[in-house]
Order: sequence, then structure tokens, then C-alpha cells
Amino acid sequence: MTERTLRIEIQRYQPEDDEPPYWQGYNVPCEEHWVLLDALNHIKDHLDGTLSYRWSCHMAVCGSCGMVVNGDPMLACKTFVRDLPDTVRVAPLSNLPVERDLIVDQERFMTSLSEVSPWVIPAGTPPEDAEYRQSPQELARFRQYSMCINCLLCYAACPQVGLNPGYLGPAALALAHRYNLDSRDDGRLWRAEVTGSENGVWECTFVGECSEVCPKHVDPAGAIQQMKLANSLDWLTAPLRRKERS
Amino acid sequence: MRTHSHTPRMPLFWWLRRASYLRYMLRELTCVPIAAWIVVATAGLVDLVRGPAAWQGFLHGMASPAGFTFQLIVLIAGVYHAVTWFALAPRTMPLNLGGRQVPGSWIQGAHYALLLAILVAVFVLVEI
Amino acid sequence: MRTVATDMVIIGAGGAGLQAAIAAAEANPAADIALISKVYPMRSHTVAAEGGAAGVIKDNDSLDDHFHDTVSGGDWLCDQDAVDAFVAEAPKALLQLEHWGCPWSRESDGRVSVRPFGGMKNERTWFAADKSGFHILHTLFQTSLKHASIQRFDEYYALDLIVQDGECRGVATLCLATGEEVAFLAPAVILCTGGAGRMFPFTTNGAINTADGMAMAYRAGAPLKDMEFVQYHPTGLPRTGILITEGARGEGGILLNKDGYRYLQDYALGPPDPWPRKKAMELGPRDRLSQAFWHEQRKGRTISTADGEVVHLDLRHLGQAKIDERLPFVRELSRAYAGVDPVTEPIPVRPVVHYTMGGIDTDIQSATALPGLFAAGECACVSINGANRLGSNSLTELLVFGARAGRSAAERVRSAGHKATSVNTDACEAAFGRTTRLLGEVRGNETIAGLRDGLHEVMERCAGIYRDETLLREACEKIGSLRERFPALAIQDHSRVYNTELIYALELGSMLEVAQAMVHSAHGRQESRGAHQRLDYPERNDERFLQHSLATFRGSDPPAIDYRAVVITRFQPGERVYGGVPGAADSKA
Repeated sequence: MTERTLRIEIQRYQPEDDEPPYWQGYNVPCEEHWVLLDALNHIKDHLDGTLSYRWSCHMAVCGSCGMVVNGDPMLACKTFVRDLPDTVRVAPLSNLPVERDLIVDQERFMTSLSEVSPWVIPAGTPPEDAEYRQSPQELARFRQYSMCINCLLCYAACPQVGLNPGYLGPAALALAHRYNLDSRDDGRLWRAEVTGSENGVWECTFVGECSEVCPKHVDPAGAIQQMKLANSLDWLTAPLRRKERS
Repeated sequence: MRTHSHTPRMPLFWWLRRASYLRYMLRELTCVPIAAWIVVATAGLVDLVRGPAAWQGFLHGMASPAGFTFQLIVLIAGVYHAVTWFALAPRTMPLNLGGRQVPGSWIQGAHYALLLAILVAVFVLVEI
Repeated sequence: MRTVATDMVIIGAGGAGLQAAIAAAEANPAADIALISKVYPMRSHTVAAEGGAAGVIKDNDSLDDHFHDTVSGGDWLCDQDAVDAFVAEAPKALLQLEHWGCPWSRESDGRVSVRPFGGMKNERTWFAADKSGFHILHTLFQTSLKHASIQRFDEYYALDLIVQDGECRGVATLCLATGEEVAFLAPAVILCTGGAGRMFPFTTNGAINTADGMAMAYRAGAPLKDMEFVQYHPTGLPRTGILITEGARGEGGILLNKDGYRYLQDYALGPPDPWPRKKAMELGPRDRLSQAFWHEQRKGRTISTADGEVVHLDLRHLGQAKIDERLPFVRELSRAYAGVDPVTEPIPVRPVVHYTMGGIDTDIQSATALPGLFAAGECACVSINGANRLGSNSLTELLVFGARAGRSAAERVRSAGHKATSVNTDACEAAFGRTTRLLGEVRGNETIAGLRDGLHEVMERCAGIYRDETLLREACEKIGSLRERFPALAIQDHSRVYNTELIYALELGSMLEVAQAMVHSAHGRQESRGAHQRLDYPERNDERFLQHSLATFRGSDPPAIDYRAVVITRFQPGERVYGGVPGAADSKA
């Protein structure tokens, strides 16, 4: 089994020490098939038990292990050591407050999630004792946007998240779009009050980096631009809807 | 109720950190030459209305080295803006026709086709 | 120490916990519900389930068929009243998820699609491509956000149940973000903490599946039932243990040994054709398939690779279109973690620990032996899975029994009347004392990795697919000795904020306690049934062992093992028959 020693430098931060973040390096003998997460687990088990980071599934579906590796936001469980150079700098996700080592404060995202009403808002009552009929084509319309694992790599990649503390962010907005496109849902105008607000889609300037780093190819940037279009059309047709109501 | 978390600050030159950020800023900055062009073109319109002498003065200014450089910058900015905009268009407006998704290249192509049509129309109008 | 007085506490925010919370909120909108989880809900291991959730909807299917498949699949160790309730509520529960937005895969007419699954006579497994657990979890989580009465406490680690006057009164926890000790006081507590796969070295389970809830209930006096039954999923990737769903076989995938031979036909699962065929060959029950691998390995017919012995899961004949439509995640996982594209090459697979059939003993309303304590999901044992679980019954179990637990707890809250205002602080001190000791000046020389490796080694070798007297005795001894060594565990991290090393140590402690219950239960069961196979007792012994094992905590001593009869209502134990040709009788009474 071929081994290769990687120099892994990790941004450490212990709030109780009242010191700013600092870099700490480790020499890690890595096996050929390892992912970065395996290397971190090796450090934790054998070199430094004080290193803290989140992980669980090890198969890129739980979204726990997002971090910045040599400047790029990635999932540690899907970053293969064979694709990394001999020296690697690992930092917590950018743009979010750092609580400890590689652990960031995700509360901003949890709040944004709730604000976009990410649940089915049906037009009437659901069919009794039966499913909504939804064709494979109707399912295909929103399926891509339902694949988000909430890993927050997009929040680390998006400069607007860093520049505007109130911005809802790519993943939350993409999830709103997922429900908007679901044939069983009728809540688009309801959600538009939040998604079309000043902290919503209009904070996005289509840098597009969120979609570049997304490990599940959700394309939140595309979702947001589509919502901008829909939001604009809603604004234009608002008088017609007012007429309908009265 | 988070205690002592470290909030990172966005550096002033955050857009120099990644090549994609730099390309984004350049794309955004194209609005400056284009806005300047609108101002200059408006001035030209005013000169046109004022009379042949003023109009000749405007054309003379446009033909000068400074004027030529300015127009070149505007052209490059405009083309960069259009190319990046057209590339992103399919993601902004995915189209479904008869239950199948229209390929992104068709949407992009349609934009170029429209641009070409406008250029041809303007050319024809100018030459007539 | 901070105190939070509430009406109901739910520990674990995976499929069962979220469903319990929603059901409780709907049953009793006035009740305050504290939903506690050691990770954010989207990280719960429900997210990794792939294949689907079973529920009868087709005209050619019946509740009776689902009942029979489940009971015989469980080798008659299932409580039949529980299974009857389960199969009856399954379709409604899945339909409710659909109404909540779960993106189930569809037929061309818009109806929900179902696929065949192991050990099932008819197609009844609802699926969302091959990420069913992911979609179920996210649907439940996002729907739970609607209910203001559900207050979440994310990244709180539950240490111990608070028991007073023989009743469960709450739970002592640690807030990971601050290290603060927080006691939740409530008349009703529901444990939905998942399984125990991480006590084995090769498992599909995520880092968080460390038997914490089982251990808490166990220490508080609630017995653990049927712990000896551990499911090996037949198709996990070698080394990483990453799950390759049974759905791949449901779509027609086949298993080949080193001679390119479909070896399952040698193990009473054939004939190999016609294929696909329900309850035959690769769609046999999981215990039989994993046992077949073990035998093939003994015969030297498995394929040797750098990552150990494997067999081949061949999907090539399905074609790229079908793989991309029905099994896209399988393709992605296979390429990333095994370096193999299933469109052009077979996937190397081997059995890996996947599911704990055993767990906290509950009745069919999800109540445990401890008043005020309920449990649902993989951490519980009702039992509907018996000695071997059929694939896709577990996701449905989360919904059906999660809802039952939520409703039972809501009922208890109604009858309890008022929130607790104070609690016997001694009960809390015991719980918090464990963390203080680990964080304090304990001078020991044991390490987490050292003890964990010891546990893994003994579980893999002595409590694997096939067991015997010698190995099980050794397992009981070794785990006893690991438990003795545990107090000498020293950790390096003595901080308060996000001290994950402390959490790993506490999780290891849980696993050692529950592993001891597991191996002692296994040692006591002198028969082979379902997933518990003994080389020294190769036959099933209904006379002595048509019973559930019950392990009761005895502190630092090994557990006491008792037995209780299985509830048999209308399906008498018979022979489990798989393979054959379509239409053959499925069991001989």
C-alpha cells in the first residue's frame, strides 16, 4: 500500500484562549485511497486529539464536512488525497463566524431556511387517501433543486454572503425555488414576499461561484436568476392580480 | 448565544482572491465604459440636432486618437458583457417545449441570432 | 447548570424524531416540544438511506402479503400484533409524506412508483430515485419548520436520562457550542437516537451511530431487546463500507463470484432464471445473502483485492439510461469511492454492518418499561423486524412508530397536567459527573483510538456473521475487560467549546456498554435464527428460543439476560422459503 506524507496546515481557533486564529501544521502519512477526512481522523486519533471538525456519513450526503482546502470550498469526505499537493492548507468555511477550529456557526443558514417557508403550500386540500398526481416531467422540473445537502459550500463561495450579513444566501433561495417549481405547491407568491425582499434574490449579482462549488450540481445561481425573472414578471402583472381580487 | 466566535472580515480586495471573482468584477466594470458611451452618444445626438457644424465637430472628436481608443474600449467592454450575458442566459430562463428541455445552446444561439439580426438591420438602415 | 422545563423532549432529529415531533405537534398543538439532537437534523443518518420505504399500494398487493413477508423475513421473531399495525399504517404514512412534498419517483400516469425489494413477494417499496432517505429526511425537516411549538436544540449531546421515583423526568445534556450543562425537564421523553453500527469496524453507518440512546435507556433500567441480531447489508463497498442500495438488485443487478457465477443459486435461493424474480436469488433476504458470502469466502470463491475479499455486483446489463434514471447515486458513489463505473464494470462489494434489529424494548405504542420514556426508530425494538429486517421496512418504521411515539407522548403530556419545575439534582449530578471526570485530572493511559480498535477487533471477529461458543465467550471476556479499562481513558482536549474529543469518549462508553449487552445476548441464544447464526447450533430452536432476549443493565457487571415470548397471532412459525418459481408457496407451516 503506497503511502505519501502530506503536510496539512489547519487553521485553529480556541475561543477560550482569547487568541486570534492561527495555523498549525501536521505531517500525516496518507494511504493512496484516502480522502482528506481520513487524514483529519488520523490527526485526531493519533497526533492531536484537540482538533475539532464536523463529519458523519463519509459519502457526501449529510453535508457536515464542508471546509476550505487550498482556497477552495470542498467536502472533506470527497476530496481525495491523490488529487492534493504535498502541502495543504485547511480552513473553516469562509464568510461565516468561526466557533472552534473548522467548526463554523450555521445559525444564519438555519434562520434563512425557515424564512423562505420551505414546505408545500397547497392550493386546496390534498387528495384524500391518494397521492397528488405528478408526472415524471413535473418531477424533473424541480428535482435538481431538491438535491441540496445543506453543506454551505455555496455560502463560503459567495462574496455577497460575506459582504451582506442579511442576505439569505444561495442554498436557502434555491430551496424556495424547489418548492415554487413543485406542481403540488401554490406558495410562490407567498414566498416572494421574502425571496423578493431586499435580503432575497436581489442581493445576488450572479457571481456564479456558488454553482461552481456545489457538490450536488444544484445550480443555486440559476435558481436565483429564475426567481428574479419570476419576481419581475410578478411585479409587472401585479395590477392584474389586484383587479382579479376586487 | 454564541460565545466568542471569530467573525472574519471581508478584505477590501476580496475579488483578487480567485480568478473567477476577478472575471466577475471585470464583467461588472463593463457597465462603466458602456455608461460613458451612453453619455457620449447622447452628446452626439444633441450635436446632431444643433446643426451640421456641431455634428462635424462630434464626428471629428470620435475620429481622434482619444476618441478611437474610447470607442475601442467600449467595444471590448460591450462584447465581453454580451458574451458573458448570453452564456448565462440559459440558466436564467430554462425553456420547456412539449415536455422536453430546450438545450442551453439553442437559447444562447437565439441571443446571438437576435444580435446579428439587429446588426444587419442597423447596417441596412444606415446604408440606405 | 441551566434548566429548561418543557412538555416533551425528543432526543434525535432523524426520520423518527422529526416524525414524532410533527405528530406530537399535530396531536397536541398546545404542547411545548424540545427537539434535541447532537447534530443538525439534516446530518442524521436517515439521510444516507437509499433504497426506499415499503407500503402496500398496488392492486396486486395486500396488507396480508406485507405481513407474511415481514414475519417470515424476521424468522418469526417479529411480534405479529406490531407487524399488523405496522403494515396497516404504512401506506397512510408514506402518502402523508407525499402530501408534504417528498419527491417520490413516479409512473408515467403520475402515480407513485414502487420497486421490488429483498424478501418481498410484491413490489411495494416507494422510492425517490436512490436517495430515498435523503428526501424523506429533508421533507420531514422542512415540514417540521412549520410548527412553532417544536423548539430545536441543535448540537446538544444527551448524557443521561433523569429518573426520579421510577419515572423518566427528563434528560441531562451538554450544549456543544458552549460546553454548558443543560437539564431538560419533561413528563415525556422520546428516544430516536438511531443504531449502533459504529461498534463494528466496517459499517455503512455514519460517525454518529454510536448507540447513545440505547445506552441511556439501558443505564436507566429499560431493557434492551434482541441485541444479538445485527444486520449485515450484502452490498457495501470494501474498506469504506459505503452502502450500495438493495435497489440496485431490485432493478435487476446480479452477484457474481470469482468465476463469474451467480453463486446464490447454491444457497436455496435459485433457480437463477427467470430474472428479476421476487424473493429469489439476489432479491432474497439480507441475512441469507450475507451468509452466502461468508460461505463463498470459506470455499475460496470470492475475489481477492487490495481492500480484502469481495464479490461483484454487476449492473452492466441494465444499461446507462436505466442506471442514470434509477441509480444515479450508486453510479456516483461507485466511481468516486471504488473507482469503478457500473455502466462498464461490476462493482466490488462485501457484506457490511448496516442495521441493529435489536434495541430498547417498547410496546406497540412505542412506550418503554420506564414510565414517561418512549422510543422509536432503529434505537427501539418493537419488534417488527425480528431476527432479520427486510430492506425498506425501516424507513417506514420511522414514520409509523415515530408517529405513534409522538402521539403516545402527547397523550402522557395531557394526563401529566403540568410541566415539572424542579428535579432531584442528584440525578443530574451523576450524569454531569461523567463529563467532569473526563475533563478533569484523570491520569490514565488509555486512548480513545486504542479502546475503539480493541472493540472493533473483537466485534468483527467474534460477533460477525457466524458465531460460536468459543468466540462469543471470548467476546464477553474482552468487552468486559475493555469496560474495566475505560475509567483510565485520558483525553487531550480539556476545553468547553466544541470539545469533540469528549463526545467521542462518551460515545465510546455507550458503545462498550451496549456491545456487552449484544455479546451476552448472543452467547445466550443457542440457536441459529435470521441474522444470528451459530456454527455450534446451526438449527432454529422454536421450543426454547421462540423468545425475545432482554438484557438488563447491572452496572460494571455483565447484564442479566432474560427471555419473553414472541407475540404470535395468526402466522405459525414455518420454514423460510425463497427462490423457486413464481407462484410457489412461500412457506410451509
